[in-house]
Amino acid sequence: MNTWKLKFATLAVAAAAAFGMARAENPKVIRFGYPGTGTGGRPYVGGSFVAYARAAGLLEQEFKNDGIKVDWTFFKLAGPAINEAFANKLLDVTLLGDQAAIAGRAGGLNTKIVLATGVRGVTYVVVPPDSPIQSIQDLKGKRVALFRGTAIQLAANRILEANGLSEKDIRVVNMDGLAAQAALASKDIDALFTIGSGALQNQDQGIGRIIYSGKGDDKVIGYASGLLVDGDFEKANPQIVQRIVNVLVKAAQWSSDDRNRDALLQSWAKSGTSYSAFKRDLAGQDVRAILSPVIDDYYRETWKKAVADVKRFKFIRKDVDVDQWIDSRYVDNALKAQGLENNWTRFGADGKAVRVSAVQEP
Amino acid sequence: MPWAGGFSAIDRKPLKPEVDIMTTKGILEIRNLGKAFPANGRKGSLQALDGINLSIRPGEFVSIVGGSGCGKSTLLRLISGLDDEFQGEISIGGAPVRGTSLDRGIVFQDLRLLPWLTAEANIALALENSGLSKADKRQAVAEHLKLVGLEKFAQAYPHQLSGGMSQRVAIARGLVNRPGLLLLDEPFGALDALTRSRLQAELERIWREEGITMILVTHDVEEAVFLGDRVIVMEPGPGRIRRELRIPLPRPRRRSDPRFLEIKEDILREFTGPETAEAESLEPAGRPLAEARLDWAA
Amino acid sequence: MSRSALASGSSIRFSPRPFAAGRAPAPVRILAGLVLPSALLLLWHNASTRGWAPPQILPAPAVAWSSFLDLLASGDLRTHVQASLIRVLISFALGSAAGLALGLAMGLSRRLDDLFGAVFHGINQVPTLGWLPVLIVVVGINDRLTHILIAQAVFVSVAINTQRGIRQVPERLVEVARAYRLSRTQSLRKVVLPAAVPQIFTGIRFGLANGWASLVVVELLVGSEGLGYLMSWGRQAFQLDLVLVAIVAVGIIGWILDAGLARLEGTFTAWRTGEAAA
Repeated sequence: MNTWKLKFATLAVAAAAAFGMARAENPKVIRFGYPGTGTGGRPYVGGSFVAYARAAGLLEQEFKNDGIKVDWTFFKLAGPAINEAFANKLLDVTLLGDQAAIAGRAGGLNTKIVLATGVRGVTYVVVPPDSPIQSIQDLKGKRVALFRGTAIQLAANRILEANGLSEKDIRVVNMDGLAAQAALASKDIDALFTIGSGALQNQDQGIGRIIYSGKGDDKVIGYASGLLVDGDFEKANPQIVQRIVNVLVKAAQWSSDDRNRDALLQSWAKSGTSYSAFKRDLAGQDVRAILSPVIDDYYRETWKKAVADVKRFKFIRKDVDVDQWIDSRYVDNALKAQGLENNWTRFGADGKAVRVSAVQEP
Repeated sequence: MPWAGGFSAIDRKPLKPEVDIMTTKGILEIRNLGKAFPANGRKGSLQALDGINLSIRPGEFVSIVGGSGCGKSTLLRLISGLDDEFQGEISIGGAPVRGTSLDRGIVFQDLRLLPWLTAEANIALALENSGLSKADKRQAVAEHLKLVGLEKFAQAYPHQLSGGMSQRVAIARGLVNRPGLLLLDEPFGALDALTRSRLQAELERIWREEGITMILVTHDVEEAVFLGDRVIVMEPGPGRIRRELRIPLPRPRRRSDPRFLEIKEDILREFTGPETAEAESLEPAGRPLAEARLDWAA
Repeated sequence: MSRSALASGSSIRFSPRPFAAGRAPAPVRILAGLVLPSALLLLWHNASTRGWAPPQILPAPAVAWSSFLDLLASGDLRTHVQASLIRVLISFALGSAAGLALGLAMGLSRRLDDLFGAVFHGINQVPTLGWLPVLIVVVGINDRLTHILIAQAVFVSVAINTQRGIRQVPERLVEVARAYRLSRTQSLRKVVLPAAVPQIFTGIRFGLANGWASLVVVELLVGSEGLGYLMSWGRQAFQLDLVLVAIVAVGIIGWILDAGLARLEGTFTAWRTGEAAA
């Protein structure tokens, strides 16, 4: 490119900026990330309303008429790999768990959390069926798989700490979720920390026995996840971001409707994890609360606690300001536009309901 | 220069007093000796020595001279016992030679000092199995360093020594066991002419003072005549003795003596004919030391 | 000019007089040795400040330096270095002792050489990390895996080079031992081993260098301590500055280990320079 063309291009960009982003051209593709893959690497996942939107092709439909493609990437190596993709400008939007998101933010990634995709995340500890291990305390000195740099590590450290242990007391084997399940089957590891329905699946397959479940453990706060957008993408395409959030809020509303539960679980089962595993993962949980897209005080508080804990466990070395990071405008717009302001219960920082959902539980 | 003082005579009692090398029992007898090397890749073999008969009296200095490939070095190796495979017999005082012996010292053509040992330690190596006490060993080494005028270089490594100095260490190593027989394989081949003639004179002095039997293999006719009581002339293909001469000249010999020159030319004529007799040497000079070292280092 | 210690060590081998005479004075040599590292540092600096790579992926040298100081002050770096060193030294001790023993045996006995030689040279063709998948299956992912893998790397290299070193002792020197009727032990000690030392050290140094590099890779998989772990953790935790600190530490420590061995080799081969005579 010669200098004149370059200067002209620069001018054009400056002009476009001056006339406002409304005139800016839409992107040709939205690069959407997701931590983890389905069984055997298949490009479907479960456990969130985003997973449902993916399975149902809702975003694709939304942007079809604009000629915008939605390009999904499922990261086997989860959060750490997503942060690298963000840094290399290979990703626009992603779902991400708390620890990796915090690490990315602390590392200087320009991201925004625009939508809640889950709080009160449940962690399981799975051992081989014939293992003598009965409790968290029994993990001492054992080979335990956990996925470093992801929400699993933060959850594991919290659980260990609540039981008077730390990572140093166990022999950590760093493995991604699917590799850890294989290692459990071959008994190369004595136990694994995992989140989501995989643990139930292991139990069904007869390769695992759950010795700990985060359900009902009041001493340990559950993990959070959120929808992160790249800061530059958000600045250049605020309408696109709003439309993404709109679609996902709608998906959340459909997902939290008890009448759709069966269909929801069927859509998740495309990931290779069984319908029944998902069903039992959700059993005994406030499903509407964990499928809520609402950014409320409890959501913010959960992230603040996560930042504090991640810092305390020395997983990051710089601080992260949650209030500067979480941007609830998009989700609030969506809720208002769709008349869903009272669809989900809002919780205060203490976790107690502030404004109870207008929807009747069956 | 320490060499200027010459070798100092030291009290050299035989290592093993019961072996009297001055009696006829100490005679080195070589009878109908032959040596064949397997030929490269082909059937049959290469005859290096054939029908060698030689008898050497104790205390005699015998020079063996000959051109390339006449088997003179092979003969020396057989006498030393480093090579046991031959036809015929080699005996000393009636006992057949089997393997090496500390009573037969050897000075190799390429010196073969161990580069990781000091001059002192190289000499002491020969004494490992001498049966001497530590103190006696130390004394023997010191005496022989002095004998070759290198007492100041006891701690030097071979690469720090000049060619002549290294040669003297090798001679000291050959002598330190006080052998009855010292075998010298072209010991001065790689030295400059001046150093060579000095060392020849000193070797003769040691021989006279110590009464050791010496067999010198050389391609240098003048050296052979200068040192030998007898000169054995060998010819190649297969290696045989062509001629034996007694050197009747009194010692110390003078190279300018007309009789000396006459004998020398007589021998040279055996190889080359009269017109090229000036050549003096029967084969190109030995491999330079540097080359020999590289060989080791490779 | 490569200042790799291994390379300069092997160059000595071809000449009993090292290039002492032709060597530049020490300050010049040190400056020359700094040229390449400085150029790399400059490249690194430019790459990060001019945005050739995102700063999160390639932190600036200054950032890495401050992370280094952090890790140093917190004692974390010491913990990791210590863990790696202990692992490598245990494996190295086992591997080199066994390698020396088998190498000596193969060097001195034709029969043993016929038995093991071919197998060993075959094994030597397989890169150390090529064994990793098999070992993981057999041993599992644990510290034993590290020790076996590193010990194996050192063992094979030392055994082969010791055997080679002994076989390459010139016959003319072995004859000296025979001429003076040295016993097997005496000639081993006085003639054969000293002659084989340079080659043996080639094996030891190569083995350690190889083992050190492999260790770091195995640590990516095993354990919660060690420089390899620090690298993998740095990546997992999105702190690529830690990765860079670990890389530099691995390089420097590898270099120090090799320099230590070179110095040790120097004490065995002081005769080359005649230092012992001074």
